[in-house]
Amino acid sequence: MFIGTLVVIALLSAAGVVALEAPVRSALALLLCVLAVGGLAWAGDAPEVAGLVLWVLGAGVGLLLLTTILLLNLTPDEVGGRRLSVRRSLSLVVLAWTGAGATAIVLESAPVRAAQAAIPRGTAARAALEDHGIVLALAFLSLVVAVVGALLVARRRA
Amino acid sequence: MGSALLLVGTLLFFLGLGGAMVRRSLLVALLSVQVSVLGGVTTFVAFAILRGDPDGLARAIAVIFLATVHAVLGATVTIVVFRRRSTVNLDELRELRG
Repeated sequence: MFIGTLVVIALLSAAGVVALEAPVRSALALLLCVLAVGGLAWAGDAPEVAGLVLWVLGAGVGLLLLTTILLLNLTPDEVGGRRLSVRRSLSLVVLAWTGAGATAIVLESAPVRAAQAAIPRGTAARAALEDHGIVLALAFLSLVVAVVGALLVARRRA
Repeated sequence: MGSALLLVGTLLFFLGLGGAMVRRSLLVALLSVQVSVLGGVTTFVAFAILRGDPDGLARAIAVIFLATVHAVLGATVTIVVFRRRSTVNLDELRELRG
């Protein structure tokens, strides 16, 4: 029930990001989608990923984009509309559903290694730091460079 | 649980992809790409659950940070473009087209 609710919230809010006219509402829908995905990750015994999704993608990225939208204060002409109608683009959802169903059928029929009862707590963080330390270090470094570069670029006057 | 997360991740990815193609606003395209990233993260978590392998979660953590880099750069580019052109409508940003 809880997981089903989170799934519905995630999918509806993702559809809201695409379908809602006002960018502010799209940004709020994205925050709701991030909350739902974080909840799904927590329900899947991945608390490290859930925490990072909520804090980094939600509080970091979501609020950053929402603040950008509010600061720009765009008029409807500046925002831009839709190239396709929402009804036609729903065909993408139908295609996605078909692809997802096919993926599920393939996965159900393919042999899967016997999974452990659950991923022990803390092993994800240990695996990230020990086995993927270089990748994480490069990601952190690129984030620092991106933030510094963004500050420098944004300071310049047009 | 893993299969359900895999389906959700796939749908989120395609929804974000569709949004980036349908919407003509740079900001909403950025938001749609973030939805796609959420789908990717969900897929990584799903495979980690299905295989019982924490490496998938480690990769999801790396993807989250790289998505943050993308969002920061995208927001900066949006602000700079708006300052220069006073619009974020992708139909009007056509300098690279012949």
